[in-house]
Amino acid sequence: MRDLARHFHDALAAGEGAAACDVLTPATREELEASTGKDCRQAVLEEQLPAVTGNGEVSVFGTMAQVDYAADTLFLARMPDGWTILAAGCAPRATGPYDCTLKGA
Amino acid sequence: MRRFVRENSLSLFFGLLFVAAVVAQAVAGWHQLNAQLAAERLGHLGFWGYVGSADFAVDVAENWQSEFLQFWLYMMATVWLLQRGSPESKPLDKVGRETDKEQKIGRYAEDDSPAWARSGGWRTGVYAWSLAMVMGLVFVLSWLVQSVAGWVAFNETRLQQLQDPIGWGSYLANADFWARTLQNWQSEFLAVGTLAVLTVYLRQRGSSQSKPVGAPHTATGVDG
Repeated sequence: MRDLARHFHDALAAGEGAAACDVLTPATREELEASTGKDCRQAVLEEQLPAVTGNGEVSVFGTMAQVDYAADTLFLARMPDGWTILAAGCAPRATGPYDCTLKGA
Repeated sequence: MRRFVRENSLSLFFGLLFVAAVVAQAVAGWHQLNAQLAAERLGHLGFWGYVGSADFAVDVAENWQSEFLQFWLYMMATVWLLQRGSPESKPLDKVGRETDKEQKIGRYAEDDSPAWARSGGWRTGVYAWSLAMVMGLVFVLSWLVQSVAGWVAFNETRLQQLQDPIGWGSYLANADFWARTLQNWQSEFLAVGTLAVLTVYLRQRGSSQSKPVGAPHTATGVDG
């Protein structure tokens, strides 16, 4: 999970929108394209998610996981083909769910 | 073989029913979970993936713990508590652990009494409480499994909802754990209480759980 999160952020940092989109869940990709009106490969780079450093703290429960960095929190889902990113660019709120820039509908 | 089946038909019957029911529960639960995952567009889980999941484990364990608690409590309660007219109760003059002679232990054991009933000492002490110990242990272990599996399943849902997971200690104080626990406990306590009372006035001919059909309502500790 940590490798997947790192791969996602490395792809964003390198301007590789396709590589970043490849690890998103289908619902997250579709929500991004629907809300921006652009192809995922372009839209994901324009979201300007915060860069991350170091090793994130990983929590895994069943088919879900969370990777927590100082600058970003990601939520991962285990799909039939493997782990994918459900939500990224997430910041905690005082109560309730995280406020995420990228998230499945 | 025929004699074995006849003389063990009760355990064989319920053993087969249990296996059939747990397999059917796994199939139904698997479909239910996949319907939920599909609604949230989170893919699907294979059957064996579901059987190995926290969702299945908590659904099984929460029922097991309450059943064994029910048996343990009922066993212990019927040592000291009475229900006039019920075959589920001891006779009204037999409250408590009873005498060694009544329990056929130590020097009062008979030739075909179990070895640890004849031996005396700590062995007889342990054997005299063995049923409660095993039932109680299974209750504690299955409640522990419910707490861990329930914690995992609960946090899995929280992550799907983009919320932080909580620790196991926090889960033990959480409404999800206690709702699962108490929904099972209330039905178990209702069932045994109902049985204790209904058997005062109602009958089932031939059942060991019923008084003989013609037994008076006031007859206590008598079964068919």
